[in-house]
Amino acid sequence: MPEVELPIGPQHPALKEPVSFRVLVDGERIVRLDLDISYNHRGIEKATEDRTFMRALYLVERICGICSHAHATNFAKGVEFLLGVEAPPRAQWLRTLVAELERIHSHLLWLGVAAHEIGYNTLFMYSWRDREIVQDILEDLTGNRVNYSLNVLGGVRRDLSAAQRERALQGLHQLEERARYYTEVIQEEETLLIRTQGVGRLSRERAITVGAVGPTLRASDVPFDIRQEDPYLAYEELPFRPITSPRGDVFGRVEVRAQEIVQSVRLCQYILENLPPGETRLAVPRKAPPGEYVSRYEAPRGELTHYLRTNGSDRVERCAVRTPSLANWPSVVEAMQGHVIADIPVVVAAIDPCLSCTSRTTFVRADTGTMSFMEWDDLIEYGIHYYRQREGL
Amino acid sequence: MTGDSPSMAPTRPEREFRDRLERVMAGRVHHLHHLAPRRLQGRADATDVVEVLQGLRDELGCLHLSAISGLDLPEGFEVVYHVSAPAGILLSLHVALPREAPTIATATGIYPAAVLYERETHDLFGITFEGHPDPRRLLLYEGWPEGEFPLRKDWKPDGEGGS
Repeated sequence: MPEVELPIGPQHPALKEPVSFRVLVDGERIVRLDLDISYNHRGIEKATEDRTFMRALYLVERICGICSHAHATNFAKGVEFLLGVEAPPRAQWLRTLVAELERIHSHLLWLGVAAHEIGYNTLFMYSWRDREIVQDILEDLTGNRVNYSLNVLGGVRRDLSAAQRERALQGLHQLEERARYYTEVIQEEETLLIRTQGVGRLSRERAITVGAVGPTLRASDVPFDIRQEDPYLAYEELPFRPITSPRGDVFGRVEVRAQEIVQSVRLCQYILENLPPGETRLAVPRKAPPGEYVSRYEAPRGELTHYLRTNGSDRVERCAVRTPSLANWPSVVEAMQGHVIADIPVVVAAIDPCLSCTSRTTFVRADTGTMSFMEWDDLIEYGIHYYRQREGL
Repeated sequence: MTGDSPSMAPTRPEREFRDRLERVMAGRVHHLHHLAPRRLQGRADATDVVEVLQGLRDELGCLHLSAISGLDLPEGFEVVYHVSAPAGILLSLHVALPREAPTIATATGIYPAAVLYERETHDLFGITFEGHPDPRRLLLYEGWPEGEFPLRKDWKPDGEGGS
């Protein structure tokens, strides 16, 4: 049967950014997947070269809405290294607290979106309701639900009061039970199991070869997590271990994230119970001597790197950002092979792409050569309908 | 101590990795130095890059290429390969390219993960990766004018070129 090319996008099932796919299909079977990720390029790297470190920090924080603290913290600690300073311990622990709260909110958001993708809207509602607990804690601690702006060069902008600490611990206590519930419910919900088990398989070897990172990589049984591999902030002093799954499929990626939520709740509790006293920021020089440094961070989606270069001025010569989503796109291409169109939303969503999507999907059928367009919501419906017919879901 | 602490002497795993690297590479990687805790930096010639990357992958346990960064320096372009090494070490391998002919062999044969990183570097710097299986634009939209490379230092967003 002749092959057909299906363009998909920029309507994307999982998140809120534009991305476009072209999918080559043979009947229902996907032969090849190709991406166009140019829609959201904003020239931020170039812009950092023209701004002082502090102004660049605010820009870098806005690379991503869901993992903004990851970018800001990674940039701040890298620039601090080049400035020859180290943020005080209390500041590092507070940065770590917000980092783990961010991971919880990101994974809960993802869980809801992934559930929505397969028509499991109850789980979507529950997880986003529970996510409000985290959002409330973040708002209480930093003043914002998104783009917390906790970082300043040299430390953090706000300290934690005893009352805030109490409220955070109360919220985390509630969340602990909810997080455990999710690790259980995913093992039992039939729709989820059918749509994700055996889907989007990525062997351990291929996951490493195509450069996957984060939960996507760990779900293929590779215990690579920057928090352990190359510890930063407070992680060397926290009871942390990478979470893996031997499954290597989309369900494995669901499992890893659900368990990471549980682990992150515990890490936040540990941080709040053991927060070192002391100052929360120190003064930093305005200019950095010539130097280079790669700052690394385990963002919710995986390894994030900022390659920084300074030249004696008050701004970077270069800030090269490699996001975990960029690292994970080739794994989507790999994992999609041999699957059917109905699996596209799920396999794409499984890497938790940091994209906000309003993609339109273009389908070109090989056999007839006709072109048709599908909105992302229609593609989700298509997937739900396909499996409902086949499996009686 | 965490990796971002300034100036610390290399630990034993870092010294051992560096020694093995020097032995395996036999001079193809030079100017090796310890930049920071778990940060090693070195240089290689463009003509040696594929062999060096293969050696890193097959003989030094560097299975993961973290990133590729382009640089536009007064002395010319550079491509920096950030390779994830054992013991949490990140090795940044710098390769200088002449400004008039910034071309280098593709790394995708050794690290398939390079497929998007090289496209990005080509898009933004105009560096050519010979043998890349799919050398299309990655980040700049399809109407972006040819020959305009926004991350080059002489490219300015206002007035001079680009839209």
